[in-house]
Amino acid sequence: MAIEHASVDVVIVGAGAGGGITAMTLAERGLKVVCLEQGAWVIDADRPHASLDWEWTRQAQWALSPNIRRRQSDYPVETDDSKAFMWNAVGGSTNLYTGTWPRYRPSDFRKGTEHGLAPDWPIAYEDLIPFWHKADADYGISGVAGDPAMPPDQVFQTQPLPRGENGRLGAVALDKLGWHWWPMPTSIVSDTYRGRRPCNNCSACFAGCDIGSIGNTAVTHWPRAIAAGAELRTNARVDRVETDDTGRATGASYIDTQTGQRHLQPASVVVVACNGIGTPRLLLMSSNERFPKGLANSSDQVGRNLMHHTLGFVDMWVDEPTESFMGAIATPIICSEFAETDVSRGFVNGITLHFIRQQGAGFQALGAFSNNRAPWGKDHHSHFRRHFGHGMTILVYGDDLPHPDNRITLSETEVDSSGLPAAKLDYKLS
Amino acid sequence: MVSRETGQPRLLARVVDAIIPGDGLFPSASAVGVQGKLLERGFQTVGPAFAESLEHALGLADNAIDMDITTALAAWETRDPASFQDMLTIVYLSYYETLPVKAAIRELGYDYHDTPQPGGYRMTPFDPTSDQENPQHRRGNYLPTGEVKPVHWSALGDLGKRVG
Repeated sequence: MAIEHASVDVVIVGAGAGGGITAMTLAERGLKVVCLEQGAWVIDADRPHASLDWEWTRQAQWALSPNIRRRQSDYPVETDDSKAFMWNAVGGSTNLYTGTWPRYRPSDFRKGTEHGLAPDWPIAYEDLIPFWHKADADYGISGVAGDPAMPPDQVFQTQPLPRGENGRLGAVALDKLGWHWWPMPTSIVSDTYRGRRPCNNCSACFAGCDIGSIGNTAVTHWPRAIAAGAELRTNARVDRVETDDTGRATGASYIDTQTGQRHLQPASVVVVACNGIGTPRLLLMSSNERFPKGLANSSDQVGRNLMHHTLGFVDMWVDEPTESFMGAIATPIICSEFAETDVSRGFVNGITLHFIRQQGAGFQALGAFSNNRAPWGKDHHSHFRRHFGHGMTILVYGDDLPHPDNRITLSETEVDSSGLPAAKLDYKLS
Repeated sequence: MVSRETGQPRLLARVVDAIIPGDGLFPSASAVGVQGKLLERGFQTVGPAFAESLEHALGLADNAIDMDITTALAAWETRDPASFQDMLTIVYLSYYETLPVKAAIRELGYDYHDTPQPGGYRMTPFDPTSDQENPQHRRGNYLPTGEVKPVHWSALGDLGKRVG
């Protein structure tokens, strides 16, 4: 028998970036808000940054993929694709990202006009400026204004993080080529900001931040949302959005994953904010007699046209020391020389080049991002001596194109710890 | 039989030492206990089948204590590079997390810490007065919203057919 709670103005499913900002914004305007999150609060002391085995732990219990870490709060993703990254907890995936914060470009909103392989957005870059300013102020962005490769409106809350030898060498090389470079905007504060501590260059950003320097919605938004009256229920796994006879959403049913007790939270408005995989999964799980293909899916578009970033890693090793094991991973510099579409080179949408760091000695011995690892056997140490602390990596970062076959459906073979169907992700780079 | 309980410690020690031997500065893998971590983390990630798969992959038998481990490892790497890489990941990460190895890295002249926190790393802060850090070049451009125009397709090959 489900416990039925008193109705509220808005129930939000998911306490990540989207859910956290929505809860804070609505609660500060006086609405009665309840947010349901299947994960819990992340305890920063549980992060591996101060453990000797931090490199192993961040690839195991703190892996980006739920299929590797397999926490009770996760749900599996049936897929051959390697980029099913997410984190299920208060703050969502902002618990486990590197804080890289480059903006969309004006042309990103006009791809229908430009090449027609994706539609124009119904809004323009300029429409979002006031919202970006607000979000940037809430997350705290480090950077320096004046980048000729971007519109001039962006302001930064703190100055850039140290670029280190990695960034210095990259900038020298790009100057020689005559290519663009600029300090990378990040949501990692370099100075005290709204009570957050400045980054101390610890290098373990892939496991999130244990001192609060990275803009994590659990730190930047949820305290304000709760102070404004929003109610956050953790370990609350929503399995369906309920609808009435007219087809209107009326609330969310969920399972308390600690007790197994079922609950119903009625609301005037339901917000589904479960990321690009979890949101279609929930809408599809909410099918009923009236909506046999899932909610909001009369078009058969729910879950389709899933887009990732395209990520290519180029590792290199140089004679000069690069300080590759220190500093925030993603911070040194960005090169936007090729950011706009240039069909003369045979592709659309462009790419940016991100100079990034290579983490600890174990990861570097394994060949950093490109698997150019130190050989096993008698030559292991000589290779390590030549390469450790001399590496730098360029992340070639682009956006794919929407394709209807890149989609989320419900798995027929895998379930989460509550017995709910896993997400099935079919994806092929287009 | 390699098991989590018995683990044939001498045999596993030979395996991890064949992967990372010691030299004048760096200890061997077995000297810092990697063989134990290999079993523990193999169980953690693969499950109870790990020991069996390790034995199978190495082609080991109970009486194979005198076999050529290097040859067996090379054969495994050729036969099943994916599972070999999984094993190697455990060995490398387990090795480089140990205090003696981190101390050896510092002997090379690096300010490499035992753990990232507490304390982090001291780095020179951003200097807004330096052209090397606060770029004064005017390279780079973007297309304002009103200037986005249709591009010609001829150089795109069949991209439109594949995606559009």
